[in-house]
Amino acid sequence: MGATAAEKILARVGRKKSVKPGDIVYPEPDFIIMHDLHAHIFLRELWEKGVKELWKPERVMVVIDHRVPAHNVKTAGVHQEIRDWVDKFNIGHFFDINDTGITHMLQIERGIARPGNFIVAKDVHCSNAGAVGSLALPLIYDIPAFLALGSAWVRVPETVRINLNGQAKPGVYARDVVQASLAQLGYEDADYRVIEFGGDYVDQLSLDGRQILCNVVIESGAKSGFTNPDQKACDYIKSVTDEPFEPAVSDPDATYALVLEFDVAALDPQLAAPPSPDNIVSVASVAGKTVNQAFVGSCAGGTLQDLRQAAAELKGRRVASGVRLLIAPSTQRTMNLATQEGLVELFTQSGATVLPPGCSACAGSVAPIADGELCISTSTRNEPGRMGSKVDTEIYLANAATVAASAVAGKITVPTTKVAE
Amino acid sequence: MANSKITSKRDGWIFEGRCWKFGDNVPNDGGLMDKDVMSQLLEYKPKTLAPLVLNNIRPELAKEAKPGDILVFGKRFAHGNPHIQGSLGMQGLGVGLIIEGMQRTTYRLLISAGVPFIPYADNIRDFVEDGDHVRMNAETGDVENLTSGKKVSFEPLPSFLLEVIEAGGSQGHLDKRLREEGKIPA
Repeated sequence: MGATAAEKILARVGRKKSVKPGDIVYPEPDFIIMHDLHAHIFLRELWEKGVKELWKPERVMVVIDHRVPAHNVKTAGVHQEIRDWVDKFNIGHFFDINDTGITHMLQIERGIARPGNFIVAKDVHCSNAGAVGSLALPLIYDIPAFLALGSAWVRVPETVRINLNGQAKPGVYARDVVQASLAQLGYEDADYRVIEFGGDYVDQLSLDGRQILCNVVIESGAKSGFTNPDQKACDYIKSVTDEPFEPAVSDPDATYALVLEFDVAALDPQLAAPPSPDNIVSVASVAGKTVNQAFVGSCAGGTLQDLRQAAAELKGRRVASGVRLLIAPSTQRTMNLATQEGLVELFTQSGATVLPPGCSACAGSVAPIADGELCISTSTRNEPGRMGSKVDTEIYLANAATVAASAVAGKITVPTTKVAE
Repeated sequence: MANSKITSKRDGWIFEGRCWKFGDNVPNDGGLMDKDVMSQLLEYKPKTLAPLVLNNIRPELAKEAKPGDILVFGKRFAHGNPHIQGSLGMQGLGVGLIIEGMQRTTYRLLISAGVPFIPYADNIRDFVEDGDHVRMNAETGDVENLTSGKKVSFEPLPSFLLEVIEAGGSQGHLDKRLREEGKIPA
């Protein structure tokens, strides 16, 4: 009987010959990842308990990404406290504001997430790591146990396989594909499962596109997202780190809780309408709604590929009067690459506001929307109040091309351009 | 009022008291606890959070519920972003939970917050009414409706997770492990 990649990884770090779904293991993670909303709280609490040394500080990654740069004195104090704890605990991988980006992208860009690695994180969207065949589980309030003692209980999840096949139409990207395919699963189908993507669409997809697939699964209740690491993933990781890694791939006879076949070619541009990310409708069905703010960014939409998709819609055009188009590249390196390609210049010339790399407007910590406004965004969630006011506001989650096209038109609009993913 | 005669009490894993019955789809943010209140308070103490539990849905509950009371929830319990404050508040109230359905993230959240509960109790809502006098044993999964005289049993949480809850949740259990491993003084 074969095993899925997730089962193989959990067997290795759980020091077992093999594991099956439902088993309880106490895995030792390759990395423990936190960001600026919680790192200082967890580290302070451990220190106050009397823990002066972490289990393996060289396996800990701390990132300042949620409030970049600090937007008030209180946040500046939090950042200061984080720097102090990083020093006190001798933490191995710290990314301060001068060298940062969104944690979930940075873990890949800096070679922390590597094929076959097991990561535990505070933040639910750590699943981007699945784009390079790394299994990342958000174990939230058990992170202090991992920090101090190197393990906590984990129930081995089942794996769902989604096969994505076919060429996407113009204006259709990974965001549409993942939202629409997940919408075919029932509420209980994704719960606490690893969603593994395969098929010829995934084979040709960039690592950026694979990050979007692996990220968006979280909103369906899945525990993580995964793609079997191929040559593309291994070559990329070798280009960013000299550290060794051992890829794990699912066996052909692995047992899946469910296998879903999805025809990418039949899909038109989709978006998630309020009030939740699983409320998927076609862009055409809500076209014409007036847009006040548009945002390209976040761990679900700030990659270089997303920026290229937005740029294709913006080229030679201007953002409509009365619309605020905000664009936040996911990391500083992404910002540099976008600058080299001329995308940043194109954005500013089209009337967009380019924001510093980081989580940015996704959770409303910068550029919140006002009462009665509509925002179309590539970000992660759309419950009322997520991006600012919850009074008569609407948030639509779409791909970067749809967001940019809507910003140009001043109303929700079906994108028409196509760039390679 | 029937419930005024009920004496609520908790003895180890046995909860006895008034039943507070809820439907499906009680959300975590905005249901178990108001999100704005959470973000303004930045507080993780169960006793401080207890008066804020379920205020948007049943404002009288946090004022009237007593340790030993039993909260019964339907499907998709506490769905949404896994903020822990609502669960910590329930620990602060000293109540026990019986839940028909929830995602595993919520399951882990309740354990992390040290809330005793009986999970995946199919059709529990056919068995109890709001205001009934109910007894539950979180260790055995047995539930008795003392108002109707009916008994029913469910699969309880595994013992290693009851140990986490008994220690007060993730934090308390970590303290226990740290003491056992000599990382902090006993």
